[in-house]
Amino acid sequence: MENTYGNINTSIEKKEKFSFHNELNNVELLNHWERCNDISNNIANEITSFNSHLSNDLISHIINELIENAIKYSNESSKSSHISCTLYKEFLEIKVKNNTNSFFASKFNTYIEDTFQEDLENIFFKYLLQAAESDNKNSGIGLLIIRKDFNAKIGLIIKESVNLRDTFAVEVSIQVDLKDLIQ
Amino acid sequence: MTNNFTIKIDTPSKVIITGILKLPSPLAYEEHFKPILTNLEKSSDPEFTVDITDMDFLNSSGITALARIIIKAKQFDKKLTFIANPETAWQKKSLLNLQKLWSGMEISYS
Repeated sequence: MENTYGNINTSIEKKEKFSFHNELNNVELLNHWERCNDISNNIANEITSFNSHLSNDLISHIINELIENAIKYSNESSKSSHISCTLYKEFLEIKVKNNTNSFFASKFNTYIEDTFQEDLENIFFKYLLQAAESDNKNSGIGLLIIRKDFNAKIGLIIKESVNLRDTFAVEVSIQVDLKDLIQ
Repeated sequence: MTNNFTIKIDTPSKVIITGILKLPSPLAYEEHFKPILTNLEKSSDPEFTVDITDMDFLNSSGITALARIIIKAKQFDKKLTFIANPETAWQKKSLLNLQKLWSGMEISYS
């Protein structure tokens, strides 16, 4: 099974200025949650050292949401997740890959189908209100914030593993125009 | 897990939250935010203030936790003011989103 969603642009001309890849230790981050933010800050620092007009604060915010999601929803047997960031002339691209199980893959499919069908403002408000009024363990607003507040284009691939039992590879890609990352 | 934030009940109708709020889920915020919700509910003041000027970071789970304060203020019909830092980019974006939950919420920049 493979499902793809999103509106990410693959045909635009890309002039790469900086590229960065990091392996994330799932167990370490689960046990030391604050390190998600430390890693996000470090990556944001790297990016802004190539373009000082960009807001470290905003980039770190986006990266942290993506890392938190990858770690939170990775299956227990999966030791690592991966993040890569590429700074192009006009936009920043961030890709996060992790492995999850059929339960979370199915929930993620439903969430994505739901959130891509409706107007973004409406769906964000619906999820925020739902999260605020319920005792849900997770809010589900992280990706919506990235799409809404940063006008991010998003691409998602959920692919079932042929070799590993109950394992689905999830890849989340986002593209944010640099003008939306200036404070 | 170490906390890099503080929640100070400044007066019965004002709370100051500072630092980096990055707990893993809205549930993890519950115990920390309980005194805020209790004060908001019990204070006789018709207004309640949340000062986040020195809040450096807030993840989406934390935004949900703030949303629960707004829902509580709405429930008790209390005017709610967030004092924010105009130089912290995410604060403006997040508070404008939260303001949609209730028209009785105001944002004031320090």
